[in-house]
Amino acid sequence: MLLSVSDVKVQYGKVEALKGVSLDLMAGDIVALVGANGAGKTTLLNTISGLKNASSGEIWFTGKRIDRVGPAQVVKLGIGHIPEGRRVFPNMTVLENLMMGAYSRRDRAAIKQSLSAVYDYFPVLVERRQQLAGTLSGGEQQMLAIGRALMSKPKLLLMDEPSLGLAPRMVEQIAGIITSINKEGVGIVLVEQNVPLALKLATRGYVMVTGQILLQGSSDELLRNEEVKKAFLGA
Amino acid sequence: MTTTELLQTLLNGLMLASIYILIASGFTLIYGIMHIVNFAHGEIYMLGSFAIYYFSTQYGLNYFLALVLAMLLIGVLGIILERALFLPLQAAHLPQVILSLGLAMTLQGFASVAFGTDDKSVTGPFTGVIRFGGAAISMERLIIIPISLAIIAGLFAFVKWTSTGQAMRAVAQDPEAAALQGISVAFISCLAFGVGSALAAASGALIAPVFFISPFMGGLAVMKAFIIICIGGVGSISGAAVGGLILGFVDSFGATLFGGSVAHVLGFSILILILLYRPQGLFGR
Repeated sequence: MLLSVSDVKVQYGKVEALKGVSLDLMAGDIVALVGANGAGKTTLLNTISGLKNASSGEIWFTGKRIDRVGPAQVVKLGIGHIPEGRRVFPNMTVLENLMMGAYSRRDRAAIKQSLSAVYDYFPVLVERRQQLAGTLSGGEQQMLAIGRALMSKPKLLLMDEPSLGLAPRMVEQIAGIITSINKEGVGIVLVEQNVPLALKLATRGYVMVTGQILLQGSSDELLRNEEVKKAFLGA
Repeated sequence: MTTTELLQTLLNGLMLASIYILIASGFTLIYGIMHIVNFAHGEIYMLGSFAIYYFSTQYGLNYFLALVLAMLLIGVLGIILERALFLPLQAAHLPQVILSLGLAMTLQGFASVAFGTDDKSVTGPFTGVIRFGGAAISMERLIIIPISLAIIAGLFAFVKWTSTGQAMRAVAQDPEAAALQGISVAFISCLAFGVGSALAAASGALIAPVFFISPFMGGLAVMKAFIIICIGGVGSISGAAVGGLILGFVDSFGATLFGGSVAHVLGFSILILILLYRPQGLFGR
């Protein structure tokens, strides 16, 4: 078990954003997390990566408990979080952004290797490496954000809406990259509004509604589920 | 204005600009990362002046050694103050600003009691006068320019080429995204306050031989810093450099042409113009 979220509750002031959420992921899995806006998907990712503290429940990663350790430690342990909206550093160059991804690492030679690997995934970033990240297109920024997360050599990637605002051809490209990254052994929790895409890429999925997991199952099961079809697939 | 006067005013302007750039860079660094106006910044600058007074004039240490010591000690003081006072407020900006006001008053009071309220005179490292054409400028004033340049160059290099410096830029642009790369925002904020304080201390230490120093000299200094970052754009060190140059020359030419008080008005007038026509500052976003 790579990641285990057990009965996690999260509050924003008096409002309970997560009402006891549990989620599992084995090494090498891609798990989809879908649901309407406000369901709590981003909150769940933020809680896993340590940006937000859970009020109760436990989160375990590679056999270590991580729900109280803070985001810096979570990155060191091997979780990379690509937030919604890319959030690249706009006034830093592409290369500087990528190097910030490797901030927690000390192994110079291996960092160079990671950089090569990222350039292999995203050749467009090589051309643009001295360009300010804020001047990149949406798709390029998404690639940069993914590349930056890969620089920390994660065992698990949390991806929040990678397809948002991207043209269909770019979405296909990103989808291909997600599959490639996963083939290298990196587990992925994929939050997506594009439900067909998410369930195509993932082996399993969770459907969230107002802070709770409503449904879970294999992608096939979910794609055949009547409620899922009605809510997300326009059936 | 004669050529001699022009040259003199230009050199004086450069000297003022050097001092202003140092104090404004520290101020904008703190604002860019912690998002607070640090009202105690002028008092930190004042402590820099007194540090050089005690180390150099009173205890006879080499002036340059005393400068480095002052920057280090006050930088560490900044780190301690940030940890002890600002960090517990957990990024609540308004309470932190009010805290800085209280800190300013406390430091002023402390300095009055510890050092005495009368003006003091600090001896500089060199005496004598250099002549350019017909103009004469004291070595005391001239030496400020290359030393400040060196410190600013060091700051630019730190922020551009070191991973800690880059982490500071990252936190200034997007603290959450920075946290997700493993950067400790609390540590970076602490460091920013420390580096900012060291820069203010350098500014105070360098200007100390030129004017009399007193526990109350900080108020005007922080006002200058504030004007400069508004002109240059908050959070931008290049903006602080350009703003500092502008204000340095405005103050120098203003003082020569119209006298000191009018020069102050000029500075504030520029601020008002910027706020009206380019409120984000020259380099701001």
